[in-house]
Order: sequence, then C-alpha cells, then structure tokens
Amino acid sequence: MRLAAALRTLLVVLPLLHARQSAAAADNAYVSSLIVKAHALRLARDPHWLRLGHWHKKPLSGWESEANGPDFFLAAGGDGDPSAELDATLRAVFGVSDAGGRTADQVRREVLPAFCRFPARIAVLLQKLAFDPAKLAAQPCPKLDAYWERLQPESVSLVFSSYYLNNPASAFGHTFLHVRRRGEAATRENRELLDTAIDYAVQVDTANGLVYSFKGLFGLFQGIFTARPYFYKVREYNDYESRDLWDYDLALTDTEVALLVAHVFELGSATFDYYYAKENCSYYVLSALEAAAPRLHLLEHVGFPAIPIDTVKALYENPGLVRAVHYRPSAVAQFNARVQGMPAAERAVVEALARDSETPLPPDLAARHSIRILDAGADLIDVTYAKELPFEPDGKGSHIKQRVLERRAALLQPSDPLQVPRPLEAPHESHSSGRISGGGLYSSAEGGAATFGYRLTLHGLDDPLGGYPDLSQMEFIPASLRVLGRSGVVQIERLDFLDAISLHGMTAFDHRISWKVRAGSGRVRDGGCANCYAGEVTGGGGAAVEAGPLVAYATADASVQASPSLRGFSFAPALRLGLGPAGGLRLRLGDRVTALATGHTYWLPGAAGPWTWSAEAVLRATLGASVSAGASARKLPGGITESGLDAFFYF
Amino acid sequence: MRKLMLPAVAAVLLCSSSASAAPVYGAAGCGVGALIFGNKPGIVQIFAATTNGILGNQTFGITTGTLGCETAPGTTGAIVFIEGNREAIAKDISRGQGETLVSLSSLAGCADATAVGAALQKNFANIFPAKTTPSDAVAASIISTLKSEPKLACSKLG
Repeated sequence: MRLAAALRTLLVVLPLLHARQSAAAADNAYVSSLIVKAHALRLARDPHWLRLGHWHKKPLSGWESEANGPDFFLAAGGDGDPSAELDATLRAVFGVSDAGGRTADQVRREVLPAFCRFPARIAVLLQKLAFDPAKLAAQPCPKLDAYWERLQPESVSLVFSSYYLNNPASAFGHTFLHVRRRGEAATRENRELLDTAIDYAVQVDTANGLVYSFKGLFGLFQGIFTARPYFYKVREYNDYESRDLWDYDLALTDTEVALLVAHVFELGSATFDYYYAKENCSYYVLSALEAAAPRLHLLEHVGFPAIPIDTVKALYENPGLVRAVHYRPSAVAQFNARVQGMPAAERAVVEALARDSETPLPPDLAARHSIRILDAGADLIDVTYAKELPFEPDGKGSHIKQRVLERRAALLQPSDPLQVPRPLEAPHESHSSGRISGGGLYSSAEGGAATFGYRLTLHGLDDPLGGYPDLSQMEFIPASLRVLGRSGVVQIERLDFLDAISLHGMTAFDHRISWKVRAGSGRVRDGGCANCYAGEVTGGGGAAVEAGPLVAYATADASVQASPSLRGFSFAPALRLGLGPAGGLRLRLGDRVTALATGHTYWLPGAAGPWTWSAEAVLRATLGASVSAGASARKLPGGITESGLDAFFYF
Repeated sequence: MRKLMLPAVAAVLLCSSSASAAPVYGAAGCGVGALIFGNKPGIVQIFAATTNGILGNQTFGITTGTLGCETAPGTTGAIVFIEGNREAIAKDISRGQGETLVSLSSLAGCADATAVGAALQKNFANIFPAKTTPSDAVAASIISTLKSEPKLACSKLG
C-alpha cells in the first residue's frame, strides 16, 4: 500500500504542486543524500528500476537497454549504466541539473522536462526512497495531464488479435493493450469502444518487400508505442480483417495499472529495435507490463521466436493474473451467428442481397424475419466488401450497402442484440507452438529407418485443433531426417522455411480461394532423380469444401525444384518445373483423432519422367495436452512404399 | 498472385502493425482509412511509408499518434467517433440499435441509447442521403438530429 499511496500522491498532487514550484526547489545537499541512500539500498540493481529502463545484463559484463533514443536517458551513456541513470534522474527531477535534465538541443526540440517525462520512475523512486514530494522540481505537465485525462485508466487487458494468414505480418496474430476507462456507463460493452488501445508498432520506412523483410529480421526498424481510441482497433481487426479479438483481463492492482499507464507515457520518449522473430510487438507489450508490475514473470516464459500466442500463455504462468477472457467476434463470426439456424430460403435471399440490393423479400414475411434477413445481408456486404468500403465511397459495395441499409431502416423497428457464442476453445488453450517427433518407418526402397522431426512453429492441418484456425496451416521451419538401419547413414528428408496452407470452405456466402505456399528443400524420389535433395518453391490456388468434420481441397500447383542431380530442362538440367493438381482430404474424428490424406501429380515439361506424383495418408491421435501419436503411409513413383509410426511432443 | 508471394517473402514477420504517426486533421481525417491505413488499402498497409523522422524530433507516438482524433465527451468527440466508425454506425443506425450508438449516446450525454437509436433510424435517409455523403456531413446530420429532439436530452452537445 505504500506504493499505492506514493503514486496517488504523485498523480493526484502533481497538478497542485505547480503553483509552488520555485518555492520548494531542492538543494544539492538533499539530492546528494538521496543518491547516497539509493546507493546504500543498491537501488540501481533493483529489478523494478532495471525493468523501468529496460536494461538487461550483457553476455559478459555490464548492462544495456533495449530502449533507444536520445530522450529516454538522462545520463550520458545511461542506456548502459543503470546507476548513472538513477543519479541523473534524481538530479533532474529535483531540479539541480540544467533545464529539467534537458540539453539545449532538447529544449529547442521541446522535449518534456524530466519531471514530466518520467512519471513512473518518479513514482517508483518515491516509494523506494520515501523522499519529500514537495521538494520535487514540479512544473506544469499539460501533455501528461491530457494523456491521463484521455485514458482515465481503471483496468488493463492484453488483447490477442487472432491469426490472419492473408497478411504475412499478421499470420501469427498480434497483441496489444486495452486500457479500460473509468466511467459512469454500467457495462463493459457499453464503453469499450471509447477505451484506449496501446500498441507497439513498427515504423516502416520502405515500400520494398525484400528490404522490409531484411530490416525486420535484423532489427533495422524502430518501433514506438502509440495510444489510440479502442474503436480503431475494432474497426481494423474485427471489421476490416475479420479477426476475432480475445481480451485477457488482467488482475492488476490500481497501482500497477497506474504505473503501467505512466510507464507507457515514458516510453513515448523511446524507440526500440524491432526484430520480427523476438523483439516484436508481443515482446515489448510484456516488457511494459513487467516494468509496471515487478511481481510478474512474463518474458522468461517466452522462447524464441516470440510467438504472440506464447506471450498470452506466459500470462497464465502467473497464477491468477488473468481474471477473465472476453471474446469479441470478427465480422465473419457475427455474420455466421446471424444466419445460424436460418431457413434455406431466407439464406438464399441474404446471399442474393449482397449481389443485388433490390432483391425482393419473400412476400408475407413477418417483420421479425425481414429484419433478420436484411441485417444478415448488411453483415454479408460488410464482409464481402470489407477491403473496399473504407476507401471507395463510390464503389459497388458502398452502393449495395446503402440500399440495403435504407430498406432496413425503413422498417422502423430495432433489431434484437446479436449473441455470438464464444468458440469452445480460446487461443491460449492451443497446443504449444514448437514440436519435435521421433519414430520409425519401413521403406520398400531403403529398409527400416529411425525418424526425427522438428518444427519451430506453429500449427499444421494434422495437429490437434484447439485454439487455432481449423482450416489453416502455418508451419515455420519444419524439418525431418531419417537414420537408415542398413547403413547407419543420416539422411535429411526435408528442411523447409515455410509451409503454409489457407483453406476457405466454399459456401454460398464465401467464395474466397484456398491457397498454399511452400518454400524450402526436400528429398526427391522419382524418375528424374532416384534419391537426391532439392530446393523447392511451390505455390497453388484452388477451392475447398467443408462438410461437418470433413474438409476436402484441390489446388492447381506450380513448383520449381533445383538440384545438381536432377534431370530437368535441357538448357538447365539442375532445374525443373512441375505443374499439376494437388489435393487433400481431412477428417476430424471427435476431438482426438485426425486423418489427413494428401497427394499431387505434376507434369514436368522438358524433364525426365515427365511426370511425378506422391500420395500420403496420416492418422493422428491426441494422447495428452502435449503428446500425440501418428501413423503414416506413403506411395511414390517406382513402386516405393513407406509406412511409419511417430510420437509428437509439443513444447 | 501477389498474395501468394508475400508470405514467402515475409513469412518471418511474427506480428507487426505499422505506425502511421503523421498527425491527421480535419474532416474525415479521423476515418479508419486515413488513420489506420494511410489510405493505402489491402496488403499494402504493412508497407505504408512513414516519413516522420524517428530521431529528428521527439517522436512521441503516445500523444501524437491520433492527434485530433480523440473522443472526449462533447460535440468534437462525437464527430471524431462518427467519422472513425462510419461503416459500423451506418449499419447500427439502420438497425436502430448497436454498440456504436451506445458509445455515441455516452459521448453526446444522451439519456437513453434506445431512444437515440429510434430517432436516428427514423432519420436514416436524411443522415445518409447517398452512398457518397462525406463523413463530416453525416456527422453534422447525426448531431443535429440528436439536438433537434429535446426528449433525447443529449446534454453534452452544447
């Protein structure tokens, strides 16, 4: 409670101190005594202080901060010296350094004085050193006041925006903070749009995809924290990208909430190197939470790469931290709820409305049904034209929507509030993102072999479903090798960079294509090459249909393979092109068993063969939260058959 | 095909969103298109160029990220909210009910969101006379509708 009291003093009394700022300026002796006290308490090594400056121990010796920027550190070299930064902070906030701890250049750039720039540091130092707040070099902080007034923080959630394969930057999901506003409105839902979202976002300065990937991988971008009205996130994620939002409401104390919001304000002066694989949005969001609440242990539970959903799971490593999970359905989920249980005749009208806004409603329909049809039609239009509506007010989608809404409004009755059932499993209830496997197989060509597999992340069509999009696969660095029993030779079977599949079950409402892309390398066994290892890039587009637990898909593929041993094009024997159909069939048998059959036939123009094909079937049974067992069978050209058994461990 | 290619190029991007830190002002500058996507639709959003210097002057996305697009209670906040939620609010008004109308009622200080929904639904054709009606005109019509019905008691519209 001492910290709570201290913080309240800081945040409530600060404005009152403005009037007597010069009267109580601290003297050098007072600050020196505080510095001595801080050193005696070894405050510069206090975990809370270290987290506020985002310092980490360097591999050999010394410290370095993940934060950058000339305005986040008051001491010269403060990013590498928590102790010097502590001293400089005390000197600056008690007014014994120049211009509130600012250089002439910072004054010119209107950088805030230290007193206004570091509210969380001051609050924590106040708690640790129990100094007299009246001696602070207080001054007006209109920006801080306005920020506080805008957020009016009551509680904080971490929000997970679900997987979105159509944007590579979002394929693994995204996380940000939701700061709930203190308010008179009675319910959470009523005021949520007016709350604040705090996001760590990369500042992109290139339009070139390759440069973008390179800079992102090697930390050459800078990221900043931004605070925006929450509704922008709802519109962006729920509506524009049709992603579910999962709101993990955190059991933080009032003090922790205030410290978090104050610390995020401090981070307004900092930038951070942005590494997609590790130091990404989710990483820095956790690091801000840790800085506000030193009792929490979050980042130590996040491995490499820092997958957004793993940062959500890290919350659950702190018992009691998540006090509630709220689901905010995507535009598609809202639409699906509207047409759930609707008679086929009415569904047909809904579908027609999204194409032709003048589609007549069935005659003699009860008003309740007319409303239901028009409301579902409007939702379908929003989903179908999501990418167009915000940008093309004169486009086809806007025209259709305008007419359907006019017809709906003319009924002059309110709709019933829509209830969207929460999916059975929340994203954090999914299997872990890493996977290793081991087993054995028998090959008609190579005899018995031991098999080992690895996948860096995240989810395959044959993995247990819970918490992931059912019809998507995003495998990043899947690899496998076998040790041949006859010779003891270790043979790499596959090392991919990426193997992604995005299926959309075609319905009257959903006409999106299904697609897949694979980039990596694997072993080739066919007429062009009996047993060689080739680089490969494959892409395909097609369609999928879903029927209960069954999904079937077919794609038209193009594949390029490269290996010195291939008998490919006459002008480039190391290269061959494959063109042809591919497909798959997956059946979920209850919660625990999954069967998946896949195959392809490619024509290899100008190459030896000139055909290649494969057919494979796997059966998987989930044995526990992180264990499953699998059987597989494969048929390849030349009469080769293989069958194997494997155990899979998720970690 | 661009969509198929990009994941291969950029699959390592675990999560990101781009910061369009340039302050925006004025009518419809608070719309989703301008504020979130810099008016660049689709997949291009992740490549949206931000020309703001990072170290040249104080970045401070915390206070400038949505400068001028804040939703404090009152007329200005209500206008910003309407512009930023244009597509959703049109749908909710046609339904005479919905989350955006509850939030709008709160910003406008109206006593009863249900009554607000009914009043706006009745005036749908005036508020959205055409698909191309600019968002600031939509906002002005909504505000004047709320003000013109005394029984709504929207106390914060001044």
